[in-house]
This record gives sequence, structure tokens and C-alpha cells, in this order.
Amino acid sequence: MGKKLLLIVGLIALAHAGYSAAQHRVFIRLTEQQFQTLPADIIFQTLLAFLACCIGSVQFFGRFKPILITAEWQNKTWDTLGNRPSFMTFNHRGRYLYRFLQASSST
Amino acid sequence: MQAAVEKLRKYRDENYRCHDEVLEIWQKHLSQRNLSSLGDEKWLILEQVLKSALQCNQLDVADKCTEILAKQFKQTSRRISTLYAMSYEARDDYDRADKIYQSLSQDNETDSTVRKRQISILKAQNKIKDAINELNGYLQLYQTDVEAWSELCELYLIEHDYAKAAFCAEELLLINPHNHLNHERYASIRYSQGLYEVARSYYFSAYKINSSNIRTLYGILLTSMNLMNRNLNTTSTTSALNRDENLEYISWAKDKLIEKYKEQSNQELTSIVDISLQNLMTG
Amino acid sequence: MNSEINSLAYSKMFLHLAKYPELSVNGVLLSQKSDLILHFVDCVPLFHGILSLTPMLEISLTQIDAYCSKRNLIISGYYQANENLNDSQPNLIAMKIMEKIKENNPDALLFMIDNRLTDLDENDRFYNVLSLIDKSWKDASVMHTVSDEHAHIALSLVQRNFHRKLVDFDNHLDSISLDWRNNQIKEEIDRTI
Repeated sequence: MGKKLLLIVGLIALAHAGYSAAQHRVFIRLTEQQFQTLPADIIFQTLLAFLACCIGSVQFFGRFKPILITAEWQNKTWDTLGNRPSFMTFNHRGRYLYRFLQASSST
Repeated sequence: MQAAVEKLRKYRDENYRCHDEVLEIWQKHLSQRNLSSLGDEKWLILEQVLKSALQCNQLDVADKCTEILAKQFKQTSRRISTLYAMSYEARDDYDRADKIYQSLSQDNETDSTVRKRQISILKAQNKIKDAINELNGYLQLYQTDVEAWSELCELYLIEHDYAKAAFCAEELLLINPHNHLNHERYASIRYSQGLYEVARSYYFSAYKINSSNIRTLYGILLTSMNLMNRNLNTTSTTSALNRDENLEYISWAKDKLIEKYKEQSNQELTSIVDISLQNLMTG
Repeated sequence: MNSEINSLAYSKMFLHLAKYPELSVNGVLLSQKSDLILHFVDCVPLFHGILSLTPMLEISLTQIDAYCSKRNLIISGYYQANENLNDSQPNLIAMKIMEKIKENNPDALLFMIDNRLTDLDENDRFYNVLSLIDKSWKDASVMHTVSDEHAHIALSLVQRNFHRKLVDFDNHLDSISLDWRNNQIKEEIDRTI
């Protein structure tokens, strides 16, 4: 939820900064001054909102993969890696051993 | 319910084996609920439960899952047909299962899942040699199928054909050179053949990739010990050099092992390991 | 020689079968040193899946030997379950490991699991006991006694999901924080009897 909020706040702040910048240009034109730069608070808000959007959107799309190529298997064991579901067979002792499940689920 | 769904997702994505637990989660937390809030994941869960039910011989649960899935997807769906065939397999009705697979592969010859199922049928009937032949044919077409190479490796190991198993393990190494498990498996096969020198270098490379793999340390210790004993009978200067080198490896591996066990603060087990290593070195 | 088994060894063996129902599994059985009768009092589950690789087997046997000498026990049995439901014949692996165990204990017995007997509601014993005499197997099941309660105890442990807690030597090598001696199962059995 936090990452979603960060992204939303960032986007709103970015839109708000854009709107403020436009307002500032209108104000300059109306008072017939020469445009030089945007006020510091708008620039600051833009940068901050940009940062919030970056962090928010990166977190929004799931976790990072570790950068080390060996890290993918570091905590893996043969128990999960050696399991090959495409070659699963059913002709094993589970057929008899797990019969008791049937009895317990019907009661 | 969220926790149950997440657990199932983990088991599904990482290929866990615990089929009885999948069934238990299903029956305790999910079977009575309306799962439409899960979106498309619902169908994945149903497929997973179906397979686990077949593994534990809970055919009525499996049939219920197939029924729901068949209602959602058309009868002509290849995936659904495969699931139907699998439930025939679980009933030992291999002829009917094979008929479905055959018609599926006639429609689409490039479907690898179906060919793998046909190989599995052979294995289920304990026709290991036929399965090996078929799998070799399959691998000529799909040379980078990790699952298939790994299956072939195990079939050869069942047949005690270490040389051919080692070849499969080499293929796996080439496909995933950064997986420490492949290095370790290859080393263990070479060790079983008596090729201690090769085994040791692969135990070392596995250790280099992942130093927490305890099998590699045991492997280094065993291979060095065997190499030392083999050279014991010849009394030349090179073998004396060899002996020192091996002794160094042995004591290094032993120290590392004891250190790792001490970190676990299980005193009795540490002392058992200590004694067993002493016995290995003296015996 | 006559033999009998206690509920601990029997249950651990069964829990190992229940933990990996779709794989072949093996392990060793320990007995007290005695000349009159083989009394199996404990069991150490070893491997699952591939049984034909030797390095970790050698390691496991030396560790179990060390454990035995501490507890005054001896390795006097080996059990193996094959993957296929209908396959209950001893194979080359069983032969080799039995020969190795017999070097230390000539009376050692082989427990071949019969997968079709693993429904403990129906059967009291899920294995056949064999002895290896001059490279051929002799059935020694008649001289092996199993108490009626064992099946009940083992089944109730599986129903309470203790098979998920069982640690075999493979699990131990995957993570050494898991102890292959399985003290928690012994405690549970002691508590319930």
C-alpha cells in the first residue's frame, strides 16, 4: 500500500508543479515582467516529485533480481530444483500410503 | 485465505513437492470459498490442486477440479486434454492416456509437453530403457531443455550408467554454468566412477560459487583422502609431494566443516562429525 | 536369527516414506548389541531420489558409525523403497550397501519396502525382511515380529504431519541446522505412549 501511495503522491505533486509553473508564466505575462527562471520552490517540488515517482514506480513492479548471476541458485536445493513436474508419474506408493486422507475427508 | 493463496503460489513457482500439504491447504482454506476474486490465478490453483490430488490418489477431488476447468475452457483445449489424460494415468489406464497424447501430438508435432508425458508413461510402467531411448530422441530436437537433461541424467543413474549420466550432467553444466548444484552433481557422479581428480576440481568450483554448500566440503575431503591413499603404495618423491598437498586439502576442509557445525551450536552433532572425520582419516 | 522392531524405528521409516511418496528412499536401522535377538531400536533416514551416488553415502555411514559407538548401538539393517509402486525387488544399490554393512555386522538384514503395503489401515507391516546369504536373498520375514500398535502409532504421526518435520541425511546436507537424529520425533513418541 505504501508504495502505491508514494507513486500517487508523486504523480499529484508532479502535476501540481506543472500547473504552478504555468500559473507563474501567466502571472509574469499579466504583470508584464521579463521571464527569467521559475521560482525555487517549484523547481524543488518538481525534483522531489520526480524522485517520489521513480521510487514509487520501481517498487510498484515487484522485487529486484539480485545482480550476481550465481545468486539465483544460492539457496536452492535439489529438492525443488530436481523436481520435474513435466515428468511427474503417479504410479508410486502415494496411491496406497495416502489412502487415509480419503477416510478423513469423508468424515 | 490470502496466506493460503500465497503459499500455493510459492509451491507452484518453485516446484515444491509437498502434494499432501497442497491438498490440505485446499481443503482447509479454499475449497469452500468463491475464488473469482483471484482472477486468472484461480485456474492455476485448480490445476495445481488437481495434480497434487492425483499424486495423493484423491481422485474425487481431482475430478471436481477437472470438471470446473473443463467448464471454463473449451473441451478442445490442449492443456485440459492433457489433464484428462493425466487422470487416466493416475488410474493406471495408460492406453487411454496414450491415445489422447497421440491425437494431441498428431495435431501439433512440436508440443513438447505431450512428448514429455509420453515418456513419463513409459517410466511409470518401469520401462526405463524405453524411456531413455525416447528421451534421447526428444533431446535431439530440444537440446536446451534443462528438465529433460536432468531427467535423463537420473534415468541413467537408476541404470548405474555413470558415464552417460556424467554426459547429461555436463550438458546441464553448459546450460547453467553458474548453478553450484550442477557442479556438485557432476562431481558426485565422477566420484562414484572413481575419477577422484576430476571430482575434486568440480567440488572446488561448486564451493567457489556457493561456499555454504556443505556437500562440497565433504566432497573435497573424500576425494583428497582417496587420492592420498591411492598414492600411498608408490614411494617416489612426487607422491610425497602429492601427499603433503592432499593433507593440506584434508585439514582445510575438516577445519571448515567443524567451523560450520560449531556455528549451529549443536554440540553433540558437532562432536559426532568430529569423531567421524577422525575415523575417516585413520581408517 | 529372530528380530523385532520398536515403534520409534518403525515410525521413522514410515515417516520417511510418507515425506517422499513419489521417490525412492533409503536409510539404516540401528540395533542394540546382542547375540540372541536383533532388536531394532532406532532408524536413520538417509537419502531420497537418487540413491546410486556414493560420496555422501560414505559420509553418512561414517557419521552414523560415530553416533552408534557413542550410544552403544550398531548398524544392523538397511531399508530401501523403490520409486515404482510395483517394484519391491532389491537392486544393485541394495546389494552393495548391504555388503558394506555386513563387513561390520554379518547378521544385518535388508528391509525391502513393499509400496503396495503402505496403507497402514490394512497392513501391520509394510516391508519384507531379507537376509543376504552368499549373494542371494533369503526371506526372513517370518522371524521378524512387529507389534500391532506400531502401525497405529506411525499412522497417527503422519496424520499429525510429522513426516514434514522428519529430517533425512539429504536434508541435513542441504542445511546443517537440520539434525538427522530427529529427536523431536522420539520425544513425540515417548510422550504419546
